[in-house]
Amino acid sequence: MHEQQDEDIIDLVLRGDRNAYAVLIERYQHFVFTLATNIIQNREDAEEVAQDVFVKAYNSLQQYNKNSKFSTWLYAICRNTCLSHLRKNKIETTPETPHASHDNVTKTVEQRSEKQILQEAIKQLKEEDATVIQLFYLHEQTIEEISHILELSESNVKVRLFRARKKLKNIFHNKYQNELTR
Amino acid sequence: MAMQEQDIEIQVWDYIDNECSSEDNARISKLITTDKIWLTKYQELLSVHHSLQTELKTEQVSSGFAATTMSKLSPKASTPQKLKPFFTWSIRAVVAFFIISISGFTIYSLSITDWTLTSYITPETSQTITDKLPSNYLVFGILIFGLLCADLLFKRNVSKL
Repeated sequence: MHEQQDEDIIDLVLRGDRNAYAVLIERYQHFVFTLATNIIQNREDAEEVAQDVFVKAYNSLQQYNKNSKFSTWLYAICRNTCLSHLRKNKIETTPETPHASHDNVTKTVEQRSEKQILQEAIKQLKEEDATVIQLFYLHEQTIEEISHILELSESNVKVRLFRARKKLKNIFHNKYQNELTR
Repeated sequence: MAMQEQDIEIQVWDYIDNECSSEDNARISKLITTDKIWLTKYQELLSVHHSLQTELKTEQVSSGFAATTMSKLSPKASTPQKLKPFFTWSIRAVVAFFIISISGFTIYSLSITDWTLTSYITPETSQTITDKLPSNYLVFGILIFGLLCADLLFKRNVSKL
């Protein structure tokens, strides 16, 4: 079945069909939650913030400019909400579980699936670099769209993307070297 | 050497991401097919790229997330149609006022204009420019200023909603 376009759903919501908004929530809940978890580093808080993001987006849906993708607009709201949550709670971005050191990752890397390795590797990145990676690969945002979401220049986004991929590449490289020397 | 490697990496990433110009695209494509260093780097980065594309997964929210969020939505924060009938009608009234005024003005002006050549050369202004004209312009200016203020007020109210 052909999926309803975001813009069509937004039109329905703006015409008074409040329940149509549930489709957008279902569609983007995991993406928004992933982004929030990456910034806030606490699943419970991230889930609450993710809900706030959808409520905020609903309340300002009239201001959504259809020239950009709905997801781009939503992720910008998500990032701002996460940052203001951190400011309000004066929380340092301390992770739930301490980040594994690079050595630890490479030592036990053989025992894990590639997905797990990747998740561990991403946890080692700086928050802003990890966000760029997630937005680019997971949320399929272009460099231009990411620059809009993060309020950075395109060249800055490129630098962050390059830095993050270089680090991830090194982790992968170590993994394969370990496998070969086993 | 490391600098050169980094430079190659930057260019290859741009190539993989489709972020380079058509000339650069052709040049890098050729380098990949002819130069072993470039080919190795391309394969290495492409492998990372594919891993990120396929292995990166979203975090899953708890069940009932959507329902809880929907229950948090305020019924007041809904459609512009429901919230702004007054504004819609006031805007329509302002538009109608202007259309009628301008049309009336134009028709009246055309009807009193003497289209003969002599009057065109030496227009008779004493009938059209009277003592009342400046005060009429003043009233018109005040009216426009009032409408502008009302418009700003409406906009502010709408943005608050």
